[in-house]
Amino acid sequence: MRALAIGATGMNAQQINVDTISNNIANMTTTGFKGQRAEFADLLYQNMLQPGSATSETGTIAPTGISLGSGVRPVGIYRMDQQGTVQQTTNPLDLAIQGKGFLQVQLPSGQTAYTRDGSLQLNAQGQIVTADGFPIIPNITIPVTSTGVTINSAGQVFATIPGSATPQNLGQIQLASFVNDAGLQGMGGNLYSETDASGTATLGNPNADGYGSILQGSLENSNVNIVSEMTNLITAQRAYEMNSKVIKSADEMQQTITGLSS
Amino acid sequence: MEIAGNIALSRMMALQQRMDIVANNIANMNTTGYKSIELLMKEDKISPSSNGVTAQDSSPVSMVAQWGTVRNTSGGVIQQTGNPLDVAIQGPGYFTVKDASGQALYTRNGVFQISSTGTLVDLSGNPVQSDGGEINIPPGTTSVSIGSDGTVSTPKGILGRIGVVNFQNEQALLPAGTNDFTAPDGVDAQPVTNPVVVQGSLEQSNVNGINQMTDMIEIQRQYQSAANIVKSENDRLNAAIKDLAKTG
Repeated sequence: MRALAIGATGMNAQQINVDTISNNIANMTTTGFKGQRAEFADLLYQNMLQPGSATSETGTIAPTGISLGSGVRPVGIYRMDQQGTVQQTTNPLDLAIQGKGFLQVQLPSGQTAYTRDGSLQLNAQGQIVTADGFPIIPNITIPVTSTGVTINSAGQVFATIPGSATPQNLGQIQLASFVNDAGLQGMGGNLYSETDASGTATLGNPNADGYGSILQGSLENSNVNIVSEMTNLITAQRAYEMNSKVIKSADEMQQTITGLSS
Repeated sequence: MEIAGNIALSRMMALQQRMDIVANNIANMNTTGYKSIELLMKEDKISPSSNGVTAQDSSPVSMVAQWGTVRNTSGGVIQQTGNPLDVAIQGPGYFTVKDASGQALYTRNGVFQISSTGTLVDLSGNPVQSDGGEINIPPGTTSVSIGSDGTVSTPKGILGRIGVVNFQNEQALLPAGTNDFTAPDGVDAQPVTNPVVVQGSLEQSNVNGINQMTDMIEIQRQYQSAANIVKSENDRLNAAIKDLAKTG
């Protein structure tokens, strides 16, 4: 009886579903977080009778076949790329990207990571860094004497220096874009790394064709929709229960057979 | 075993298969675009024979045999996901994707992605077929919109139309796993004239959990009753052997 094994594949799949949903709910207030969705597919079928096979010598054919399935498997967990809502924080180093693109982050290993979490800070040297202290690329250093920082929607960073009438241009924040955003690999810490599936990063200035714009003093909220996550959680839990009932039922049927020999 | 036992046994084997199919349906309750499967049984009339000679005067007995599996092709509930590359077909029809060997696969699962080369693909990386081949999304595209007739466009222009096809006899499609179907020889895909696709939505599996659960309970009870027949037939034979042995 395959029902036992099939029920097990179903429980496994729903467990992954619940795990994904809980991760989304846990990250509901994580800046720049993109919700994920587990996607499932049926497993291979055993075709015991092909549809269209001859049922007699006179040429009648079977309109349907007999296909026995063998359960379900997770086929992918993919990220939903919609824009999260933008929330004002008035902190001058909080940046939200409205539209496509990622900030580039220099990891201590020298590797480049990508993020949409624009809650930036200054380190002891005046460099603009992420909340984890990793500098953004290109490196921008704010002079100690500056009294204010302005970042415009095109990503240009200006500092107000006392005694100087015109703000000083400190550099340009660049965004990275990918052909397939969903192919980026999550590294934790709101960071992503590029993969073969995402394609290589193409750099561009904010506001340019194909790139989003920068909003200073704002952060992008996570795009998790709590209502749909909760309903998905209920569905997943019910499906899990039903699969466990299948296992129980299949087990009892096997007990019935064992009972025959007594 | 005598005939009564054999009939009950054929029933048990068929019920076991039905149970496997119900299990598969329940396992795929959350599988996008999955269609619930049902097993149809048929009556197999067999004339009892002994030593290969069919008794002329005895009436035939009815065994149970599997006749075919049928997919319930009714539409599943269309659920909004908000993801621009999720597409659901409203009404009949299938998307076409081509696997690495160039074989056409048909599916109702519209979870699409953009590959690293910019091609619109399904989750297995198979390119989605439009009326004129693959759909390539140019780099730097900020948004993709898919019209209700399947037309894929970006702010810069139209890229192609996702084809929706259907078959004269949908039941003739062979399930290939991974939500895909293959068409055997002689079963040809015909384009659907006015397809309706919904962007940002997915078609849920059409498995009805309550029906499947009640089916399962019914199968289990019938299985037990068939097993009881086998058992009482066995007891009858046992009793006969004992009683006959006494007279001797």
